[in-house]
Amino acid sequence: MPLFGFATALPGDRITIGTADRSAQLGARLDDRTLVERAQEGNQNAFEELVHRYDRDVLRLALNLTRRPEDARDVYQEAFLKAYKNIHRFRFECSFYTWLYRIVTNVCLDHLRRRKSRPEDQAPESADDGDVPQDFFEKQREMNASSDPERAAIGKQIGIQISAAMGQLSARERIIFEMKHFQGLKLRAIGDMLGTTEETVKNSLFRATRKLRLQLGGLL
Amino acid sequence: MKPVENDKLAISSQANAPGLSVDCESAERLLIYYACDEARPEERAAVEQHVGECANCAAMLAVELRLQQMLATMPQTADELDLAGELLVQCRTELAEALDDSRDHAALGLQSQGFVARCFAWCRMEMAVHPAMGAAFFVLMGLAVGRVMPSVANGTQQAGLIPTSTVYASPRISDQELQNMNISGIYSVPGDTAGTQTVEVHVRTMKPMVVSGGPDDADVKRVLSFVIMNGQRFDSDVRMDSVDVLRSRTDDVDIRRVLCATALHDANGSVRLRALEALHGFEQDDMVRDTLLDALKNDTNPGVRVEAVNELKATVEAGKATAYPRIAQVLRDLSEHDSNNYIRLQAAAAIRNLGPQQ
Repeated sequence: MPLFGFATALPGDRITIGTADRSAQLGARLDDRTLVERAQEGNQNAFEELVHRYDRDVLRLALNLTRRPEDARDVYQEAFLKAYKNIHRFRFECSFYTWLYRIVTNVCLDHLRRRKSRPEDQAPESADDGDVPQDFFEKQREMNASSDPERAAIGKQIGIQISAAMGQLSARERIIFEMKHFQGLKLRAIGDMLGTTEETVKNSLFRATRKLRLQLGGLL
Repeated sequence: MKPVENDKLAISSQANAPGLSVDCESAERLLIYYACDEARPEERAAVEQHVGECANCAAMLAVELRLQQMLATMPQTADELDLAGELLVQCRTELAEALDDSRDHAALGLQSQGFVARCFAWCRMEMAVHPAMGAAFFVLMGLAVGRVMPSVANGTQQAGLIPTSTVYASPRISDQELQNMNISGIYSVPGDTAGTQTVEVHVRTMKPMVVSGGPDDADVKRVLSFVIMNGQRFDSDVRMDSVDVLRSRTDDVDIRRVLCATALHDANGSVRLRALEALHGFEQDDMVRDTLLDALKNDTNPGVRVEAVNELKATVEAGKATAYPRIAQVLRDLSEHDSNNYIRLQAAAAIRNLGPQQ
C-alpha cells in the first residue's frame, strides 16, 4: 500500500504511485479510443474519464437550450446514461465526441419537443411581480447591468429580442443555431452529429438566421 | 417543400460550379453563410464580387456581420446559470451514483433474469434519470405502506409469526476488491458488551458487502487505511469517518503512519486537521513530531497550522521536546518570519519554554 502517495490508476490497472491528479495523468496518457475500449470492457472509471472530458460542453449546450438548471440536469443525466448503456455498440466509425453529441442532441430534441407540448413548461421561470421584467434574458441583463447605462440598455434590448426570436425557432433549428454560434461547431460536424447532411443543416441555419434577423430588425 | 426552399437548394447546388455568379435574390442565403464562415471558396468569391457591385447587398452583409458580432458577444444562458460550476459538480455526482446503480444491476445479473427483474432495473434507471418522479413514487409508496403495514404487523405479531434472525457478515475482502471498491457508508454501532463498539463498513464491490468488527479488526483497519491513503477515490466525508474510526487505534504504529500521511497529503483541509487531531498524545514519536512540523511549515490551511503549532507548544511545555533540535529550529524560524500573527506568537511562546533546555 502506498504511504506517502496516492494510487492513480484505473481499477484493473497496475497501481502506480504519485501525487498528481488522476485526470491529468489519464488525460496525458490515454486517448479517447483507449478509454472507450476500456469502458466497453466494463471499466467504469474509463467511462467516467470520458464523461469528464466532454460533460462541460454537454451541460453548456443543455443549459443554453433548456434555460433551466433542472431541465439541463435531466438532459445531462439521460444523455450520459444512454451513452453508458450503449457504449458497447460504438464501432469507432466516427469520433466518440460526435457519437456522444448525437445522443445529446437527440435527448435535447426530445426534451424540447416534450416541453413544447406542455404549455406550462414553455417559458423559463419568470417573476410574477408586474414591475419586474417577465423575460428571463431581460432579468439576467438587469442583474448584470454595468455602470454604462447605454450599453446595458442595448444589451437588454438585444437580450429580449434574441430570446423572443429563439422562441420562434423549431427545436431542430435551435439546436443547430446553438451548436453553430455558441458551441463553435462547423456545419459539417453538426450534420454528422444530427445524422443528416451538411446541406440540410445549412438550410436549417438559413431559416433560423432569417427568423432571428427579422425579429432583431431595428437593432441591426 | 416551399418554392423558396427549392430556389435556395438550387443555388446551393450551383455553388459547386466554377465561376458562380449570384443575383440579389440568391445572395441572401450566401450572405448568411459568408458571415458565419460557412461559404465555400467559390461562394465567397461570388459574394465578394457581388457586394462590390451592389450597395443593397453590401448593406445586407453589414447587417449579417453585425448579427454575428452580437451573437459572439452576447452572454450565454449557461454562463449566467452555472457561473461557479456548481451545477456541473452536482450533475457529475448524480451521474456517478446512477452509474453505480446500473453497475450493481449488471453485477447482480438482473439483465438476464426474468420479467420482474428487468422491470425493476428499468424503474431504477428511470428514477435515476427523473429524480422528481422517483421521489413522488417513494412518497406514494410510503403513504401506502404506512396505511397498510400497521394492521398487517398487528395481525402477524398476534399470531407469533415474526421470526427473529441475526446475520453476522464477516467477509474477507480481496486485494482486487479493495482496488475496485466504493464505500457507501461507515457506521459505528454498540457492541455486544458494554463499552465496546462495532464498526460496519458498507462496501460496494462486484457484490455489496459489509466489513464489520471492532476498530482493531484487521479487515476494518485494512479497508479504512486504504480509503484514507487513496483519498482522491473517496468522498471527504467517508475519509473523515475513516479517520474517526482509526483514531481509537493510534497506538498502532501502522495506523499512526497512515494518519501522518493523511495529515500531510489529504486534499481536504478538514480531513488533514482531523488526522492531526487523531495523533494527539503521541508527540514523543519522531514520525508524529515530524508530521506536526511539516504541517506547520507547509500546510496551506490556517486551521491545520494552528492545530500543529498548539500541539507542538503543548509538547514543548510537557518537556517532551528535549533532544529534538528540529523543533527549536522550526519554531524559531516561524516566530520571526511567519505571516500569521497567531503562529508567530505561539511559536515564540514555545521557544520561551524551550529556552533553558536548548
